[in-house]
Amino acid sequence: MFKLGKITVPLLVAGFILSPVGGNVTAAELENESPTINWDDVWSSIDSNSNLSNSISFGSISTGSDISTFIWGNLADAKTTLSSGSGEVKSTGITKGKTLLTSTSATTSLRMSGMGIITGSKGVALGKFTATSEVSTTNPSGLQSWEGLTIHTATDSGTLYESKTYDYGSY
Amino acid sequence: MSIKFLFMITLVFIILVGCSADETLQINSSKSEQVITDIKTTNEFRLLDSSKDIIESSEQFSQVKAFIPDSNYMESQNVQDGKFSYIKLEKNQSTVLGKIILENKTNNYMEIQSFFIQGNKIAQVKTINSEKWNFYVTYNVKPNSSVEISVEIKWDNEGINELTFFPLDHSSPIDRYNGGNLSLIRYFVLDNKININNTDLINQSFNLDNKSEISGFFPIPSWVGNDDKEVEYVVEQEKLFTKNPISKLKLDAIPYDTEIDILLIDELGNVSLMFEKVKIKKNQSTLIPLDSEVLNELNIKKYFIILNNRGKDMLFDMKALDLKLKPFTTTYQSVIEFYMESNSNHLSGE
Repeated sequence: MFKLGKITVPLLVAGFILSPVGGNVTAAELENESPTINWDDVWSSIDSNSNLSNSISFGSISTGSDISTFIWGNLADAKTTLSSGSGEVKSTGITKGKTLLTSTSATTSLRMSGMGIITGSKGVALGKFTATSEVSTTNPSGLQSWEGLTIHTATDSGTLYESKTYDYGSY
Repeated sequence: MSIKFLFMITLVFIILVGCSADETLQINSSKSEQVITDIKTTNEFRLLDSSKDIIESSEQFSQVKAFIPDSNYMESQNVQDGKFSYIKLEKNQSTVLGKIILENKTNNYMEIQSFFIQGNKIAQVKTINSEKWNFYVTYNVKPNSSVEISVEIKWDNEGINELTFFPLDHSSPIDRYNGGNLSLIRYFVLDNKININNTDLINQSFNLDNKSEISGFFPIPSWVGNDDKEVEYVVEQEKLFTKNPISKLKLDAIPYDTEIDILLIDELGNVSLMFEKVKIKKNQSTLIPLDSEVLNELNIKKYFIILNNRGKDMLFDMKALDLKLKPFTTTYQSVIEFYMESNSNHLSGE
């Protein structure tokens, strides 16, 4: 579903990098009343064995070719698209984030007028990856009205964003 | 017929209890000066307008539900090119101040019932100038308008250091809480000294097994029946029911190990811890059976809240990400509504 492309994962064995250092209790023992996070030991232990590469390329979609097979039109659209073919009706919803810590989601449901609801796959993605949700069903013979509804959400720094997109058609 | 009656009774009960327990339900019509200073309505969409920096989309997002703590309590750490924001309290501070921000750029009302949860317990809330503590704050936002509600939230220094904001949307589509949509905001709260040692980060690190393709980032929940297949849904009178009864909660496979806790919350703000430290093994989906006693108690609308990386682990996750000891953040929170079995289906099956 989510293709990482040519991601390189240069993580060395964590146990090696994070070789034990002396106790963590340093400044914290002085009577500092204000809540604090004592980061220093972590940093120094990393630095002293510094073999970490900066070349990790998480978050970039280099080609997008694997993802675009799901999508009609533009990769960056948050939209619902209803389509039909080979006796099936299909609805697809997509959402895409921009920053490392943004989560996005898309869930699509399909409904034939007057009938029950069919829920689709649930797409949740991080950063610049695209959250895709898709649902399809066999189209009974005869012209029917279909509705596809996608709920798009994203969270970033205390804020939950939301929208709904909709498409309908008779197939 | 009898079920319908039960629903109505339940509904009336919820409305009655809601009104008596929560004066802020009356916010819209109240003329009280106190309340007015706590509630600011505008026609601006400050957060929505900034969403184009965060989400790429041709279609603008149309709604925002946010809890923004008072800036005096906010701190942040850089995590690679992103920013991790958390709440910092003074020692022995017993409340958190902040604003619930609701923006509604649609032509419909948006009715939001806001819950705050510290760790595994409901955190009581009130508008700043009010005296009465409540289990939630409900506000019905007019079409094409925004509101900022200044609130104070009780904080227990002995409790778990995370604060979860659950803006339950009563005006959303019936399958809004199907587990796939993001529904919660969770803050790490620094209220004491924290020393991070290497083990904390080792526990948070993982690698992608040299696979270029992963099935998913997070353990997304779904409901399955006795056959371990996802249940099917029907709509009756604009409510969602399942065709066959739910027997297990399924969590999607993820490429790392983690542990999750599951809370249950109802619309009155009763929160209980249902499962603790459920082990999730990488690359395989997880089935969590629900025993029949639990299921029998689910006779009013209830929501399952799925959380991992509790409290300090949220911070460790971010630090591990910043140091590139993991390819992406694994801190996850989601909501899935428990859906009742369709009654008509049940009868026809007998």
